[in-house]
Amino acid sequence: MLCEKCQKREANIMVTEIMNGRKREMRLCSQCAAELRTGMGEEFPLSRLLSGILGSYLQSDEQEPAEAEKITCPGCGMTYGEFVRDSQFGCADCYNTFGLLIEENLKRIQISSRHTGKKPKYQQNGVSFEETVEHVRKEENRAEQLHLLQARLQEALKEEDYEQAALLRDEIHALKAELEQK
Amino acid sequence: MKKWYEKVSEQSDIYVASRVRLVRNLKDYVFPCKLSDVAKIGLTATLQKGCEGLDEVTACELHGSTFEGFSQMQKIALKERRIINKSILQKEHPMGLLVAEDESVSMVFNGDDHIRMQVSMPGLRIEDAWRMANQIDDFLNQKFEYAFDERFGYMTTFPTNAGTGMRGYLLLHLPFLAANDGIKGLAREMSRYGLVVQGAFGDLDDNPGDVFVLSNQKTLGLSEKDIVEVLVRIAAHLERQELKIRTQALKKQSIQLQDRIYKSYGILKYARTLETAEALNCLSSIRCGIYNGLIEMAEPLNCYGLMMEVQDANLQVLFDKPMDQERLTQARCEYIQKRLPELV
Repeated sequence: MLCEKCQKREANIMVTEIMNGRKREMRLCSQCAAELRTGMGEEFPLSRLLSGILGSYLQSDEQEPAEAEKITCPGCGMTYGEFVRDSQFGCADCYNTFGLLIEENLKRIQISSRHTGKKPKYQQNGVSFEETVEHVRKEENRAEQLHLLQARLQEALKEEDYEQAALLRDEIHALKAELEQK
Repeated sequence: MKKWYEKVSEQSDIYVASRVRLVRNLKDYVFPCKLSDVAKIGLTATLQKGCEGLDEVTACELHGSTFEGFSQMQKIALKERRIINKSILQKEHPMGLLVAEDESVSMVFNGDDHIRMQVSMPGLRIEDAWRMANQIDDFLNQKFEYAFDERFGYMTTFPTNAGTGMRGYLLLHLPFLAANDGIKGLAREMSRYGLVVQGAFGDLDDNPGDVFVLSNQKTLGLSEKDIVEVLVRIAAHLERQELKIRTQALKKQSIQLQDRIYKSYGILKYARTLETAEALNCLSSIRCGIYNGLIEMAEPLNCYGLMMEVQDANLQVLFDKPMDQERLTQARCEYIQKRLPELV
């Protein structure tokens, strides 16, 4: 029997995957099985393996799987079930729609679930990123502000700027208190 | 104009090449998997227009095209030269391509993500490659607003690219580690650092040419600088292991080594048919001989460049005609023999 993935080499390994509480068996050749295990078929998405990890929410939660699968991204119409199956986002809004559901799992495939690298230099037609951040700060979106401040705090700690970190910490406390009052 | 991989003097013993790839998406568009074909064509044209003037950053002329005019063979050849990846090769929807004349910079529009940019340089120059990619990124960002989030970083189609959207690659020639099977043990260790080692022309069990690709697996939670640093640090570790075995071999098995190198030269020079794997293994032996002063030729030989060029699809593109397997094995000899310098 030929490998189900490459359809070229002879299949000699049976891979069992449990997804959404359903068992699924795949017959693969040793090479494809190894790729699946390391999750790297070149830039091939972690695909099925990832589907398994991302989908664990569907099993672990008390919610009926069918309910979770119905969650749909308002930006592009992608459903959570579709997202888990293909392991790909359909648009930027998907990150917000499915983000909370996968944050923990994202940590398992990545270093952490929080970005620490480069930020776009320009946002909104040549307006710098810093200005955009200021704009968000002025807006009433407290939750987004909290995220921003927490990211800032991480940065300050990383750069060992404890004075700035202390200021940010106080600001976060104040904001959290404000949020809890509501 | 010379291609980037033809600058053989800029390669070094272990370090064949460095590459950085970034993926980006625009804020106001759904990702390519949800974008209609008509919208893809429009967006591709907009992106290509947005790249006007980019040659001032890259210092090399850029040529834009779509994939429509390409035959399957040409597309496979692009994959063999690592300008596109497997996922893009398999796609049939409208996409755009922009390639620098020396192929050091290439961009794919509307593949898996709206923008996939890549910078390749010979030798250990991953930091330079990142710097260039960073500049290209800023140039595009000035014209297009990116989908970015404080938590998730650059929002990419695959969760495995989120954050920096960056993958760094170091191509390493490790013939001794490959021969001793030491690479497999080291490959298992790599995952602890969030890195992965793969064969450039095969898998770890069978990798003709002995060129290995070290790359970062994780993209979220570490900065671009972190990625470059860990790649350089771990590559240096692999280099030390390789040199350790090599020093021993040069001491104890010098004759056997020279024998293999000269036999490889003989095969490349006089063979009438050559399979890809055989050609690659001979080129690997000769490359090792050149850098260890065991063989001397009248002119420099670009072993890695030849390894890429004698792949099936590339040969057919270079000879400008489709060939069957038998004819390919002959064409491979012709191609190499034309470029193989005399011994001195």
